[in-house]
Amino acid sequence: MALLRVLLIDDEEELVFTLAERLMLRGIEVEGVTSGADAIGRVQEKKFDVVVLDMKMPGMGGLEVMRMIRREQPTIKFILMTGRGSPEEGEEGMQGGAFAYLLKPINIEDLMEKMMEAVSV
Amino acid sequence: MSEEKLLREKGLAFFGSITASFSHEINNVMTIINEFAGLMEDLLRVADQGRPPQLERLGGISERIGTQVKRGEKMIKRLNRFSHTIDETVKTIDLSDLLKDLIALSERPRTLRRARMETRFPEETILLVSNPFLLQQAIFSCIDLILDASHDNQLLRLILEKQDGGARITIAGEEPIVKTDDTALSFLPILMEELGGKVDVIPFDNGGLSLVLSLPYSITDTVMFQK
Repeated sequence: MALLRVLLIDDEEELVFTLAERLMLRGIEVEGVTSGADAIGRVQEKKFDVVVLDMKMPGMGGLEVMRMIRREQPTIKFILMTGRGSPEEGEEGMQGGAFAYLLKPINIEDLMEKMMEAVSV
Repeated sequence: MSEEKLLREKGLAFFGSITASFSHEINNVMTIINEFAGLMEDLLRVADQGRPPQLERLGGISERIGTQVKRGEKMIKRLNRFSHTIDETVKTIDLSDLLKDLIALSERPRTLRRARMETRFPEETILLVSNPFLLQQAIFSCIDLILDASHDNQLLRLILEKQDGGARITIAGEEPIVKTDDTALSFLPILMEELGGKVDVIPFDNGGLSLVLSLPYSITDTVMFQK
């Protein structure tokens, strides 16, 4: 059985699918999508423990996606990914109820640790 | 605030917004390369545990790293060219080349607003003697103004044409505008005066907006002698 069910959202397709594969190699069940709209579609159909998402995406931004997903699955935990030059976006996300934020490029072991912490709270 | 001070402040803000947005893009490329390198390490670790190495897979990842490196290289070259536009206040400029660079530099704000851009350039080269930094600032301000004033999914049109005594750049948004940034609109004529040209704001019947920049062949014939 998978350790966690994770939904990964970022508009950079190469990033989504590579990071998803790396998480799968660590025993995580991952689905990757490249837009907020697709993410909302997925949470309407399936339960996830953690959502890992980019703050700045075309169309719906990270905060809006968080709000919409929380309506579908109120207990889900959010971990945000933001650019190195904009940590304030991460802080904004924390105020919006995210569990943690990580600066890109992210360290996968840090991400694993944060995800485990998030579900143990 | 004096015009000189306003120009300096707005110029710095423009420089800052382009470098911030473009360095964010470069960081995205670095992030992808980081993940590819990490995936290679992961696959090699699996191979260390006795499974046969997936050589074809590793080769594919290496190729994709190469693609991202080229993408990053292109971005850095563009950002470097942009940074150097501040070196000379008067320079001969190939307008099509300058516009292509500027369109690439303004991709991130457009993508975030899901805006598409259609361009039309003449086949002939249009060379202007102008201030490259101020010229980019004027064109970028127009793109920004229309993006800011519109709904998402906007179609922007950028048309470059030759006209008597110089060139004309039209930047148009097809959809009705939702708000107009009066401060930005009032700054454009100041910028265009510095470039020896003018801006015309042409509203469409459907509420859309077209900004037309008229530029002289040579800034030295107009601005320099006026000063």
